[in-house]
Amino acid sequence: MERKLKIALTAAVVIILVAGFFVYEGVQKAPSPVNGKISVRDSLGRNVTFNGTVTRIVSIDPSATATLYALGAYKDLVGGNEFDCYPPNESLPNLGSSYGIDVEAIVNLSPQVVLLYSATMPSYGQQLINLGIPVLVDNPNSLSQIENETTMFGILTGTEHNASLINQWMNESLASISESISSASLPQEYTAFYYLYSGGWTAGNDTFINQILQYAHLKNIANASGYYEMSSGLIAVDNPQVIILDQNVNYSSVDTPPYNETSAFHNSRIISVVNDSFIDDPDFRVIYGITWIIDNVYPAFVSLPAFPINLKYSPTTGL
Amino acid sequence: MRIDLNSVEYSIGNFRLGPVTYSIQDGEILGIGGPNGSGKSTLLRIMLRLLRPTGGSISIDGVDIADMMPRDLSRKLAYLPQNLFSPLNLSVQDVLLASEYSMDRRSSKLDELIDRYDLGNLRHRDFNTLSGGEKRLVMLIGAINQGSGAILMDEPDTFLDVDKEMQVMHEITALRDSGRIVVIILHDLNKLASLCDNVLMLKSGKVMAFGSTKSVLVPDVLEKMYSASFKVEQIAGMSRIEAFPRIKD
Amino acid sequence: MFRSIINFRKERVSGSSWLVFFVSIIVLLLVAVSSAFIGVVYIPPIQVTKIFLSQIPLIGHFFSSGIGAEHYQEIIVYLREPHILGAVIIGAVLGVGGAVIQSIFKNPITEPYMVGISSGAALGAVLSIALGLTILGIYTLQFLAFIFSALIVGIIYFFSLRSGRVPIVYMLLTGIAVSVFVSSLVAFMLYNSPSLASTSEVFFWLMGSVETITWVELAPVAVISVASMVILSLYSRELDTIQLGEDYARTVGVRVEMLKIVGLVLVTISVSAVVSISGLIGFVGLVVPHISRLIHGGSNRKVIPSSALFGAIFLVLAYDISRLVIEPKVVPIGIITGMIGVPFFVYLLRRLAGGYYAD
Repeated sequence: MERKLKIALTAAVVIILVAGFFVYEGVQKAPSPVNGKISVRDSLGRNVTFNGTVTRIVSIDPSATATLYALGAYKDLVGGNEFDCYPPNESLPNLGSSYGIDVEAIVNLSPQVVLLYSATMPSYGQQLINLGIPVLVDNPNSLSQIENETTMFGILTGTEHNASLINQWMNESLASISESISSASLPQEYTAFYYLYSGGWTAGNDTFINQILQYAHLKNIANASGYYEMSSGLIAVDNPQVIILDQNVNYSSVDTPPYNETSAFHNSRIISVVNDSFIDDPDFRVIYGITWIIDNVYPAFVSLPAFPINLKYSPTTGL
Repeated sequence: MRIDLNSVEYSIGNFRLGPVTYSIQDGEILGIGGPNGSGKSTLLRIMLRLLRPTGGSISIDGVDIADMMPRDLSRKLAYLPQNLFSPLNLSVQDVLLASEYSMDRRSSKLDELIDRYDLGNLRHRDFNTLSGGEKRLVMLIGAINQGSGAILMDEPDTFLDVDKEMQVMHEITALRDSGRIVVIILHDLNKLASLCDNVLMLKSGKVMAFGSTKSVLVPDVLEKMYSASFKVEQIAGMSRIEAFPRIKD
Repeated sequence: MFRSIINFRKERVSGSSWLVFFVSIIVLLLVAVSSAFIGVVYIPPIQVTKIFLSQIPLIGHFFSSGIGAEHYQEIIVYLREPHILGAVIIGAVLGVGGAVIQSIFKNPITEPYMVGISSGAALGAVLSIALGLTILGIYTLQFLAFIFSALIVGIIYFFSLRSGRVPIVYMLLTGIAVSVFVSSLVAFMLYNSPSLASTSEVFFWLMGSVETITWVELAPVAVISVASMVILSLYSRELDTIQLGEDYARTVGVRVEMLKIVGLVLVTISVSAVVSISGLIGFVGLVVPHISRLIHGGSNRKVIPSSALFGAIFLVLAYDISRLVIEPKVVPIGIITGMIGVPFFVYLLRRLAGGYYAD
């Protein structure tokens, strides 16, 4: 046994040295960007450079798909994802969702860039990068970041002009929303709870949903940062005057405490979102989400400027 | 070979064993007897270095067993435990190979021993499916095959059929005659008497008597150990012990 | 006399065992190679074969023409091959680790994760995912999973130490207790960082998967794994002996405490290494050694190598199923091993009740 022990110890040392070498090599081989003409910066702060505008794009992010469509760059998409809903009747191959993406099928499409969003597992992004496929991660947390992202997609696909038209439209729309609200002499803003997912999941500070509520003249009772489960005790104490149910939350789930004790429940100010892609997907269409909420909560009418780009499928209805 | 127990003591909780001082010589069968809980198995385990004595020491040919390498100790002492259990389905063959762990395999006598005990048909059986007596024989073969100068046996006679038992007793005598030491725990006083050269009697951890079988296995000693009356007869040079219920005065 | 030794030696690995080994190796090769032909993207078999041949050193360039689209080569060489080879190595390590841990613990229902490897690795992985740590570059998760699983096994070992010896039942109980504690820490961290990406990444990792394995990660893990398995197989006699009880093993000359340390260290290193790249793939370590014992009997001389082979075959097959069950999505492989493993385990328990493992 003593001899075996010596063998074992020697082997252990060799293993550690060899493994260390491989790992060192691995860490050294970080991907380096190619010299090129276009450089964009994604939500992770990575600068990614391209040789020119891209014409083969895979989008794992439904907002990216919608934005590219509005920009007129839909023809450059070679792959979509499970949750794409605008434009409708998609004929692109489905390459997955945030939970799992089909790396093999993506490689097979030889895309020039893959658009992921923050919920995509980082290890997938890493795998694509290792295969030499550039990856951009979108994670807009505010309306201005949505505009930045639209600009980024514009640069990427050579549709900057359309991007600036969309952003200008967004700003004009927001101005007209504020104007409508102040001219309608509404009461003080209602307190609101946005019910995102069963178990009391909601969106707090530093989220674009929070900003949507603000523009819709609502005061979000969730004031912690990010997405989280709000405790029933807090919901009872904060007693929201409005509850907005996301598309996948049943009305029956608010017919229980603490929700059925709230002012919103007593005054029947519980509204169910019909098409949550206007509110949950961070792209220019959140403007429609804001006006939809205002229409359903307040006696106010918002008139928006016409969308500046002529599209086959209207962004207002999503059809 | 010579095994010396130098005032060996062991205590755990309220139980105290010893002090035991005794020397075992080549070609000796030492029987250890006594009632249940007297510390027989504990003494055997201390001799095998499975328990560390709290006092005194054990040496083999003048070398303290505490200083010996496991492999060297196993070449001096083999162990036949009361029971072996193989939770992961070792075959009889695998169990026997385990006993050869420290040996030069060229000196293996397994085939010969398996033939002698007529166990060839059991060789590839799952050890756990053997009967108690078959397990006993397999373990005995393993212990003998280990080739050590002394074999320490913990009640090797349990579960054995009468013919196998005679064979085992004969084997133990043959081991002694070939110059090896056998230390054996036996419950049965008559077996102690018929098999052993010397006997060490324990009660509640104390050595009640030791010495030649004839001098120890006498009514005086036995009646101090067990609550019974005894009659010892000599028949053809062998002690024959009978126990009777003790009549209270 | 000499002849009887020869006969006896031969019986140690009997003729039928050699045949089973031979067949197992052939099956493993067939399964592994044919797995490269299966996938979401159809690649003509002739192209796959050409890509294989072009990878052979020295003569490879004779076959490198006519491979077809460049991405075929990428799919085979950078996706399918590391995933399949990863499955082979992970399956083998978990199988061998299970055989060794079951021997050391003398218990048929233990597996390598039980000594704290899984909870430790989960802690490391969740630390890196939930806190977004990147201190060690892109392989932070793998490093932390590896280091923490070794750390937790070490802690459990030292908590179990009683006057120089580690009573094995004590270690099992300490292992369960510490694992529960660590799992609570993991749940706490997850609950406090519920970003969708980290939740799905953690879920994915806890289920186990081979589809994110890259060559760069696989190379060091393969070296560690193969070396550990080879050394462990050198200890098969000692591991057989310890199965009969630690006391008995001591009396035949085995250095029991040393054996336990060597066994635990090598199992911890190799299993932690594979877990760090695959996540927690369950049931292989529990089930595969039993399949080996049912076929070859209990001796580790056969159980260790055959557990490596069966583990590898089992995991490659599970990987194939995981890719084909809901195309084009890939189900985490741990879900598949659980789905196959649990029915098999129930079957084993019936065998147990039927007296095969009776005491």
